[in-house]
Amino acid sequence: MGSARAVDAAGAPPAPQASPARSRRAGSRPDQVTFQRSSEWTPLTGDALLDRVRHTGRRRPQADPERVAHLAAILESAWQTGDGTEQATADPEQRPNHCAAKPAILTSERISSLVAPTGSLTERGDRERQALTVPIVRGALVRVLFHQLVTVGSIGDPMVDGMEALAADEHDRPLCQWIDGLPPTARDALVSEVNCQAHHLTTRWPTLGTAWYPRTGERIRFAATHGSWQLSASVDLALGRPGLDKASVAFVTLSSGVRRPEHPHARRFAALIETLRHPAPPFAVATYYAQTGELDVDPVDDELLEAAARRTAAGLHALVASSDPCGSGAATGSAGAAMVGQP
Amino acid sequence: MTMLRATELTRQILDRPGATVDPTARVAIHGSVAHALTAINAQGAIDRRQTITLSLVRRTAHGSVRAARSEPTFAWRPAYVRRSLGLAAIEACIDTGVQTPAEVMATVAASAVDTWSTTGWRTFHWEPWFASLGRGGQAAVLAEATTWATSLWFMVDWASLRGRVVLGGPDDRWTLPGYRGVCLRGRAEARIGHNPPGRRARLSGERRCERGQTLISVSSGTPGSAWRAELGYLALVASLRAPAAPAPVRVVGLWPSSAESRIVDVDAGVLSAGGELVVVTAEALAGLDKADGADHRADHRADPVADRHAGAGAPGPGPASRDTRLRLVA
Repeated sequence: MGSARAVDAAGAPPAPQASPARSRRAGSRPDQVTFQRSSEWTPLTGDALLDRVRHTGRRRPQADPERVAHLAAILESAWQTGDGTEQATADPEQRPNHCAAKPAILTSERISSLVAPTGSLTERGDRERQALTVPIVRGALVRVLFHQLVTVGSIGDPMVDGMEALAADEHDRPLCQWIDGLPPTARDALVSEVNCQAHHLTTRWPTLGTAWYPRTGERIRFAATHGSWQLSASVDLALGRPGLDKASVAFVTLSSGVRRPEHPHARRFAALIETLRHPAPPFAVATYYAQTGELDVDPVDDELLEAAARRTAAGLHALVASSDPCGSGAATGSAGAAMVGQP
Repeated sequence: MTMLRATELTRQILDRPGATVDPTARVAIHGSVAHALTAINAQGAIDRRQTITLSLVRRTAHGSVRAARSEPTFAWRPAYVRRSLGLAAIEACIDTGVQTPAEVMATVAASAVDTWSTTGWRTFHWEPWFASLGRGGQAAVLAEATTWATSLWFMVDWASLRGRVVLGGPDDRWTLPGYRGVCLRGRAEARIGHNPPGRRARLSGERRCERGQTLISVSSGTPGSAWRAELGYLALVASLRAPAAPAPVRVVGLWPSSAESRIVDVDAGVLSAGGELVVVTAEALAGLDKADGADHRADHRADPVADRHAGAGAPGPGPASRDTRLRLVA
């Protein structure tokens, strides 16, 4: 159950068939297993890759207003109770509505920083926001190349196309300037890595027909009824038609780096937002690793959504108790921030 | 709140409007807005030309009007092209019957660039900038527009509006008579005409629409608590721009990223609420100009609207705005 790595290039059944050795990973659901790579493992390509996302082996969830109400209640309860102490709820300064004019925006990244033990993810996230690094700019480049591949079906010179895409948006121009300022050896290494990942993308991803209704870089949001807080995410690829009674949407998030514990949380957070904003949840959320071709897919069910809601509630809870609930600095709701924040 | 199904939302958009604006009340509201703005201008409070837009209205409510005005000079970016290009793609979908904007996006963009390059028309629009981009930059623009248009395409049953809807088009603009200081600008992504039964003529403007229009506005993010007044602002600007034509009868707000929609039938109260937003925003701008003009201390207080809200503890106009508050006919 849960996330499983794609293992077969020939369109074999989605259930992992490689080594049965199991390992529990950080951020996994209790029943989630991942499988170690066997020697003959090759990444999925072409239609098999899409089939891995499309066929989860589960019945697709239906729209369920009670589910939505339940999830929303979990979140609202966390916001209303603040840090749970009588003092906090009695003190007007600690009441939840002091962000009335400007809602608190919660992203998965921010939740991680709120709920992670001190000194781990929080500090790393802060560092990454402050300074550009090779992994961050590589992530931005590979991401725009993936969007290009989905939209126009091909990539020319990866570095040229990627730099042009970033330069087209003034918000991303600092990345171009940073890349231009790299020493030759570092730049060569970056170019080599981007070329390699772009080659992987073009050889492994099939052309997405318009019947998939592909959307790249889609921003999704959900706002509390009273407007005090919002959940925000950006997904690299959304497939399927939203707004139907039966789950018909899948999300894919791209990573140019290695697995991180927060990746499952990020995709499940997106599943939660989609469930809250549309009648039906997505049927699958996935993370694709451009470097290796690995694909982690979570079929979406009530258990996954409940876990995502509980984690988000913990973030809201911590947010209310924090000294900066409106989060002027840390609330990275923009696409640009999301783009450079997760390599 | 979850999304209305596209067919249900479309039915609501096309329903016969339930409210209308009494002509006398409409004239009174126009007069009140003009009077209030004149009063602000007469105090010399606004010392440069200001264009009030829905975006500025919203940012004023959030206390960030100063930041909005100090933004750098306009430069094209993919997010600024997505509306024009995306609406053109949706229009092509409606006209040709294709299933999704992605199918026509590249063709629509190429056609627009061709038209510009052969005629010079729209030299100051996105086409020359798009043409100047390399392959990667153009792909970024197409990706942004495709995502925007596809999300919007799913919210409304656009195909059923064929022959009744006009997409895009120029913004509504109204300048305070006698002054050059304040200009109101309202932008609707689509307009649908309401005509008496049997007169379902294709419309392109309010002159051919005997019972007023429905305006459809598309925004990013989520609807705020003032959504009703914000939609009223759009109706007000359209009403001011063409006082002899029927006032808009309905305004529909769409927020694709949160899949939310709001509908308001335009009556005197809605127009008045839009007028209140205009005055609050103009006062905020005047406050900035006053502060900037009085002295140039680097540490002067920030946005007066933010200060006012901070003092009151809640959004909404405070004591300063009540002096010049509209006396509107509801």
